[in-house]
Amino acid sequence: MSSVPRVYLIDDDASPRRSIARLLRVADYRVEAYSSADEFLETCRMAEHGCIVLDLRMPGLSGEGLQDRLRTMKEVLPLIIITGHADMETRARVIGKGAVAFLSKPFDDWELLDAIETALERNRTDVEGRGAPALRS
Amino acid sequence: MAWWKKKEGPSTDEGDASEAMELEHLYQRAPIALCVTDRDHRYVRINQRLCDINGKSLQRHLGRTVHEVIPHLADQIVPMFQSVIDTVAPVLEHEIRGETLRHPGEKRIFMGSHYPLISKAGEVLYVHTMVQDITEQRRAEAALQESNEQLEERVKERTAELTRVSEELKAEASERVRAQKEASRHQAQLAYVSRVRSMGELAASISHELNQPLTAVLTNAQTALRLLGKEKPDLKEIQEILEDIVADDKRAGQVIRKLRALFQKEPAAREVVRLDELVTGILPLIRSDAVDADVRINVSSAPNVPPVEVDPVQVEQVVMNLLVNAIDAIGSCESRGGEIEVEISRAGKDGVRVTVGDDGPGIPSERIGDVFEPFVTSKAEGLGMGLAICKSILDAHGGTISVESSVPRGCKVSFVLPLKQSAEL
Repeated sequence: MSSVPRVYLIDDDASPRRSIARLLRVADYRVEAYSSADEFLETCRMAEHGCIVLDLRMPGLSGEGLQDRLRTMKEVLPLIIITGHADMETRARVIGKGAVAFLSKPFDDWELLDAIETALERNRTDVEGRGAPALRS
Repeated sequence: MAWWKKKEGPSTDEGDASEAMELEHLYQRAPIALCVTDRDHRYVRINQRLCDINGKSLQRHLGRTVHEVIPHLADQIVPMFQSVIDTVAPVLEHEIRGETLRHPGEKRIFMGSHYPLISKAGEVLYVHTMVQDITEQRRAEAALQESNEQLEERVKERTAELTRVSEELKAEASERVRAQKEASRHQAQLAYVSRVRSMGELAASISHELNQPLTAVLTNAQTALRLLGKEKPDLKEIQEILEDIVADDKRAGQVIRKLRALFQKEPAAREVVRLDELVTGILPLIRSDAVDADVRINVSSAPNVPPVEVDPVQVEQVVMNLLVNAIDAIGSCESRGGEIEVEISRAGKDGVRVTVGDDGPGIPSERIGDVFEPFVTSKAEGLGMGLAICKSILDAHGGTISVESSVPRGCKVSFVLPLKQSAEL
């Protein structure tokens, strides 16, 4: 594998951001935490391998807004949505737009870690799918 | 021999002659029109005044019939003459209307009185007539009457105007009072709506506020467990985790304290209200919600339901919560639309019951026991405070609230308010 996968965590609230980042570090992931979608877009140089853990309700660009933005940017890092108010409609919508998982806060550690594994697996397949023709050329 | 009979007849004595001349003189110059006609309605005598009216000379009257002299008026006059002759009784103040030669083209009005001149045998020999031109008088009378009427009309108009102005003033005054009442009612409604509306927003924001520290606490605790499971646990990290957990727990506690402060009871403001009026007063506030969910709300009240003494704002909040719940319940069904029945009735002899029934999906029986507990909700955005608040309001009023439901359809929430309230709220 060319690079260690990154988990990009975006949550405006320091408490969950700090604790989730800690959990992921303890689980041996490389974590980059951002306090807003705008900050993420401005400063992050997204690695090829990784996934995004994204809070939905944030000041400025919302989580769903960022999802839409990434889609138009043809960014393919898989998304895990975490939210404090889960309604079925939003869930169906963001999953429909390709999010790997939709977790309601508070969630168990293994729920998030499972979702991240699924997301990274999807990322690996995506990258290999794109990479295969390139290797032949 | 009477003076009017024969002018040409020889007079019997000097006295008679001079008297006759005097009378003739008077007759001719009388300021009233006079004539004498015989049984054939021929003029036997006529004075200058009447000649003037008829527009013909004395000579053209004498010996001629009324028909011959004034044919256009004869039909009005001759029957009177005939009546005097036939009945031997006068015809008094008989009105004659028509044109005369003196005033051609102008309709004049005359007042005629006709008296019989009787022979010794009791037979009517002549008819003596007095005629007055009352045209001017009538005109004056008509003018007077008209001006009277006009005056009356104006008085009426003025009176009406004054009445109207006074009515307007009265209406304006009562309109002002009404507008003031309306304004204060609106204000109360607005305050109320903003309170109730903010309940939903509040619920969302509170759940967000609580979820953040709870998420952190859970994640941190589980991370600590993972760390402790390792061969060489990072105790410094675990200490940091525990410090974070303490901080987040305190943060959650703050949210709960804020919430409690928000729902602290306001000073009681008791009023005697009719619950049917209270319920119908709320409907406009949730009309748009009902329309959005295609829900019809029917309110019915049993007769003779007595009013209750309550804090109307709080009881409105209860009704509002129940109606919003019912609308939400119906809205959560796949099939659109539904009905809500609000019934107001006596509850025994000591209370009034309000029942809000919907044909939504109902509440599963295993959950019915919990619905009045705080933070129990079936709504994605709900906090589960609505029915808990309703219950606390009814407790404060000495009332009760209950729910019955049968899945798959329908839910009825009833509350009872006692007729006599306990002293304190």
